Amino acid sequence: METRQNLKLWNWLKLAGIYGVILLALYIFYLAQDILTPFLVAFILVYLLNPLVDKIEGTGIQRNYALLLIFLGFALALGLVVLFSFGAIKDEFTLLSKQIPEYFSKIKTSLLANASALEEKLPYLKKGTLQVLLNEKFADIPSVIGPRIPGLLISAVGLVTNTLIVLFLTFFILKDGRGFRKNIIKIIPNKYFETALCLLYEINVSVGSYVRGQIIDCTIVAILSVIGLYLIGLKYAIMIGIICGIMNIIPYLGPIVGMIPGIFVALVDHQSGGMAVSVVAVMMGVQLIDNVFVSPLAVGKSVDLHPIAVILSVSVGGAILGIWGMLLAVPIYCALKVTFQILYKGIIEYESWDAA
Amino acid sequence: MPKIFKTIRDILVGEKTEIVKVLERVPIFAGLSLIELKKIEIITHEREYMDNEIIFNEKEPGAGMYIIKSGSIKLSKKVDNKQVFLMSMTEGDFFGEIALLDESPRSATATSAGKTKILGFYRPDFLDLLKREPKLGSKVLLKLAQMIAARLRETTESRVKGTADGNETEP
Repeated sequence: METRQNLKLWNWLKLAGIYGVILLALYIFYLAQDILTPFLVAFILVYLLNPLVDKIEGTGIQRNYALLLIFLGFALALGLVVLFSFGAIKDEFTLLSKQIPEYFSKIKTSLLANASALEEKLPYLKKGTLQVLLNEKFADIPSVIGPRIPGLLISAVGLVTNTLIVLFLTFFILKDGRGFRKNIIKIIPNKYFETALCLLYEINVSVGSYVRGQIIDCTIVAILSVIGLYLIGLKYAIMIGIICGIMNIIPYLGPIVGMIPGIFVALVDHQSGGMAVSVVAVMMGVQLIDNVFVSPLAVGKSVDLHPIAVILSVSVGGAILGIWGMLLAVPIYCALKVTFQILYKGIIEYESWDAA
Repeated sequence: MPKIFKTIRDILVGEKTEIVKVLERVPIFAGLSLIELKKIEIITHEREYMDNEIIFNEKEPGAGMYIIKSGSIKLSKKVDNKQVFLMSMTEGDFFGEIALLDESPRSATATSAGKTKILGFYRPDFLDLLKREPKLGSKVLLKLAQMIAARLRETTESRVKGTADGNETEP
């Protein structure tokens, strides 16, 4: 009986040890976050495209040609999108770049007006302090943006390089990924091999279906938002709608953050509270459609996560890694959950790794 | 076959590797072409075991089937707290194929006897193959089903005769 107790304890220790290693890996990942960005984007693309490559391969076409086909199709689709919507997006951009200085002055005036009102109500504030502060912070736009232009150019070059790296990585991971995985798991000791293999497979399925579901979901939310905002006649409907779609990747918090640009434009540009209310109404409508019809189909029950767990992991991710942390929180949580389930089943319930 | 065709085939498909030679003798891969066997080869994992190493334990959830490439293995079962030897298998034999279908617990323990090389063919890869290459996958699946059907028929007959002793030979 006592040896049995010891065995139980030993198994729990093993489980804890494995979790220690995983945490260490996540910490290294945290330290190397800047270099990893293109890899992460590539992985997201791989998850998105892999089922398509598999499907084409299933018809008998070789994997390499299937990939070529997809990349060409992708380029073509991108070309068409740019061709048809470029005009509209360009118009929004030019309008925005022309009006940014105007926005700044509008905000400045309204803030200054509010500042004097505030000072009257708070007698202990020295007269003019807030005005001086605001004038300092909201200096002329050219003097704020001017020195940053070289930096902006450098980051544009970096963006092009990173895009190429991402495409390169995506292509080769899709092409040789299976071989990579086979070689990596080759080094796993015999005793843990079956568990490790199943584990990798389950993580792949769980994270893959989450990523794919979210991206489809985001695309649909973006399209619905653009349509809705366009109908209520908001300026920059396309840009704001796309931002809403992108923000939707972050569960629960994203949609709320996504409303901010819309409300901002409604208040500053249209200068109407009514418009702001309709923006909120449109966004909430989109969320309602998303949560009732789209999300259950796209993300579905493949990833069974409790809302509290999701919010908690998103907050923790955000605190540690910022925006990337928020994006990665749920997939990492999914992977850890699957890992725990399988290891628990293997080590504690079946006591698989005793005989050693 | 004229030599020229053989040469062309060798260039396009490549020659039979050692693993393919092992695979083509396994009943569930019988009747597959060389190209198909090579696709199977890609998703098998070659594992090496020392003497008396456990390949899988009784009652553990199974992950896949194994084909012996070289060496031999022993199957045993725990009866009243004692390991009872069931049978041994050698080169070209395979075991654990039920685990390709579901995660049911293994019904025996498999241990290597001497230095043994085995090929693992696991359920996740098999399910993936069914999705990716449905034609090839269903060929394998059909063979697997036929084999299990034959075994079921045997069991039923022996039970009708009243000779079933409850011992399973299939891990």
